Amino acid sequence: MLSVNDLIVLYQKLRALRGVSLEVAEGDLVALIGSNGSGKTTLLNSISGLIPAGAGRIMWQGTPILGMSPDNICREGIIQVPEGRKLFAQMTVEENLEMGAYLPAARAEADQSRQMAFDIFPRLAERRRQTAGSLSGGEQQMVAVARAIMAKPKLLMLDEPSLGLSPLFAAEIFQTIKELNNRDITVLLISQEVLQTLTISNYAYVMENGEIILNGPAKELLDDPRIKESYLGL
Amino acid sequence: MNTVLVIQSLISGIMMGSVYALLGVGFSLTWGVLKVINISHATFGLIGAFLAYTLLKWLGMDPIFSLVVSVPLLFFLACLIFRFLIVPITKAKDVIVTSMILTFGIAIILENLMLLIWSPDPRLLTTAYTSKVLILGPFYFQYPKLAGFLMSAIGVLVIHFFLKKTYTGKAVRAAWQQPDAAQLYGINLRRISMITFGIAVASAGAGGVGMAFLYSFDPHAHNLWLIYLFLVVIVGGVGNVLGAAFAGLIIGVITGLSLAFLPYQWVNLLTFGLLMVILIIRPHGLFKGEV
Amino acid sequence: MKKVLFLTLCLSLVLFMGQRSTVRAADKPLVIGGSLPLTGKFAETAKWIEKGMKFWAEEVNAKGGLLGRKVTFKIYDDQSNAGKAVTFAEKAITVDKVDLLFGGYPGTAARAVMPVAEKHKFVYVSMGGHMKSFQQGYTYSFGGPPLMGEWWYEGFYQWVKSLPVDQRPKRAAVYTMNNPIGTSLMDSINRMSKDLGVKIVINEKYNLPLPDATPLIMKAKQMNCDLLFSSGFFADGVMTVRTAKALNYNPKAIVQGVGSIIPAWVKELGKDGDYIFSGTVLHNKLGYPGNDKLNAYVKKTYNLSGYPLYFGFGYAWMQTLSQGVEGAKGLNQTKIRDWLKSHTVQTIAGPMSFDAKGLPAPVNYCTQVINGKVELVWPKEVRTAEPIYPKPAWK
Repeated sequence: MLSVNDLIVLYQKLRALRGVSLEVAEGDLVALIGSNGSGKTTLLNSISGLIPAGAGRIMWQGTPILGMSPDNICREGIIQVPEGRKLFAQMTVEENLEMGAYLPAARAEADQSRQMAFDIFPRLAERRRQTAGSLSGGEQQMVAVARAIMAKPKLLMLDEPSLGLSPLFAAEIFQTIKELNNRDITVLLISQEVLQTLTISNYAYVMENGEIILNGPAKELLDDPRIKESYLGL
Repeated sequence: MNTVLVIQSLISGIMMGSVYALLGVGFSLTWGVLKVINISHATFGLIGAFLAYTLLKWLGMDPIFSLVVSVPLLFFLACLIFRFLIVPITKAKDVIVTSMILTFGIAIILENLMLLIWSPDPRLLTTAYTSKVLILGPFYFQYPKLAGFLMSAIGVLVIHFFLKKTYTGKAVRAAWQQPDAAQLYGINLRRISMITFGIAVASAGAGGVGMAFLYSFDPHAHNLWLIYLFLVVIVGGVGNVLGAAFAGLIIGVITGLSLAFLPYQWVNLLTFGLLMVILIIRPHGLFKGEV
Repeated sequence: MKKVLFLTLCLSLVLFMGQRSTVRAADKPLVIGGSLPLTGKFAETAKWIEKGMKFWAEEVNAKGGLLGRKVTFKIYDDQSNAGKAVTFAEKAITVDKVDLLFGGYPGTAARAVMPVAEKHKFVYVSMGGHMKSFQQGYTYSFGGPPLMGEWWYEGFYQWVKSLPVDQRPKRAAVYTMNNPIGTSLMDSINRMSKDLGVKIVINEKYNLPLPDATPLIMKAKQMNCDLLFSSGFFADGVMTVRTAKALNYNPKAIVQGVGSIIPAWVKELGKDGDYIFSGTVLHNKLGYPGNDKLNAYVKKTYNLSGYPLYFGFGYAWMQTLSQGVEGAKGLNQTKIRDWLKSHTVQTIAGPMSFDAKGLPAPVNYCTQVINGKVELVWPKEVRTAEPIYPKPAWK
């Protein structure tokens, strides 16, 4: 469904990505793990078209999408939940969801999508008239995911969705991601909660210094000694 | 105390201030949303005023109806200017300063074009209702000022509801608050920016007609009007539509009260003194910046 | 002895050279230099001054020139900047070595050039910069005719004086723009109040731009003022008049400062601009010789029914200067000055004799806009229309 080949991204003359290759098949839940500054967010932003790539190839359902503008990539069904949530803080929860369904195709199904989002996060239904900025961190993350649901994603890319959340909230978010994947949404998940991430994923990539250093089925990686040592602290 | 004079001054001042608000609301919007300080904003207002004048003289068209012509025309012109002049400078390091220099140049070019087309003679908008008044008890509501006030109230509310209630308007707010996230959800930043600029400039055209209801004007008048724009933005807060409206009212009240109570030569001193005080105590304006 | 011989030789050489250059100069055109604000905010008016000057030159050259030499102008564009006007006056005198200096515009530029003319001992005939500029002890500067704010309402004042006492206005509301021009206009008003017993009930200054005239008119109406002085420019002037109409304020007379003499007043205000009194020092309906000729020229060239004020100014200043030159029979600036101070010149603004300050006797004609035309209403001998007083109520 999505394949990234030898992607090179220069960021302020530094090589942020040095030839990254990655595959996400339809229906997959793929994890991308790695320490801070390893290039995970850069990779996501390149796929979304926010950052221009230096070289390489990104194919989406058989067509190249490298160089397309972010709004057109969104039109293709590749939706990102960005790091730090980036909500429209002065707009209400409802308006944030509406903006998720900005494009006509999504807008046509906005009512069903909203119903689905409120089913998943009943708390948001209660808070729908509050401004997004006034919510707690966990609730804001719910809005961020709900906004992405509104966009009718084919591929949902989440960047650190559990960052800064209480363990309880984090668990809820991972639960939701798994649930979305069960509803036929392909997921690419970045997280530093390696154990939880690998538990729900079926395939995983490990990045260091702008390179993929390890990849394989998530269950296998959970048992990999290098992972145990570096990321799980075992 | 001369109550009638005070209240009359307030009535007249508020009607006047509201026109400043309509002239300034778009200036505030481009500044807040696009980070473009459009020095030529009032110049577009002046084009609106001259178009109203010409349509009135040629076709006897009421200045308010002339907006049907001038608003779309200015919107279109603004989109062209945005596409070919503003977009290139959004890549500059300091967009605010670069935009000021660029739009200052646009203002000079437009001023000279107006001089060629309309000559430097001062003009007055004279309609059938120019000297008509609505008399309520001891108070006079001059029709041109009422027209300016109503235009302004409608104009500001239209922009407010556009931003609050329409998809495109919400996209403008979203793009201002989180440009990256807005793009990730399918908002074409350049298109939305162009629409914002277009609406701002078109609203200036309406504000210019309002100004022409109050004052005489010539191709240089925008230099003076520009001062009112800064006044509205600094009192009302950058990018704040309702703030601009309140700023207009506040300016009107202050002008009205000082005309009623103080020697007249204090009026401008007081108004601009107030501006300084607001800048010092609330550099972001009296109202919280929000579109 | 040798020294004396050498000096004599030098002297005769200098004299000879001088002789030669004057001989040569006779075929060279006579250059009149200076600057006008041909661009910037005063450009429109300045272009009329330039046209008036050039019309004068055309006429003089057709008759064989001034002192037998063809007249040409060296006109710099000071871009409506008084500082640049000074620079160009210096340049014209010291670098271009012009034969004569022409008068500047507006008052701020004229006031700034006057000391330059004095320093270089060049006769400078201009509008001047109101009374103060003529009180600095300059001897080479002439207001021929000047534009004097202090005299602006003099004609109106004289006319009111001619009215029977019971018909005169009693209570005046005076609104004046807060700048030197506005302040200079107070002169006649104060005299009127002292001599004629017109009580100044309201005396307020306002800074430009005037944001709103409603409180001004409301107050004048409440205080029953039957005379309104609106001493301002066009923008504030029209606002005041329009507000007076809207608030149905009907004083016996409305007197306006500067705005009502510019053509836009009549053109833009239409009927509402009628009956407004003002003053002027020059007018195309004056009966002095030359006015008909100018009117015929602008009719033919620009299709105007009377020459614009500043066209007349440009022409009149050149009349004064050239009569000085002809009187002095040469280009010696001091001789020109002395001739002008001791003789009377004939201009389209009337005959003028200059006092020590370089000013003629106070001249002012009271004007009133009647049926969309600026008419002369006082003094009686130049009257083109009967004044309409008291002002009819607003329609």
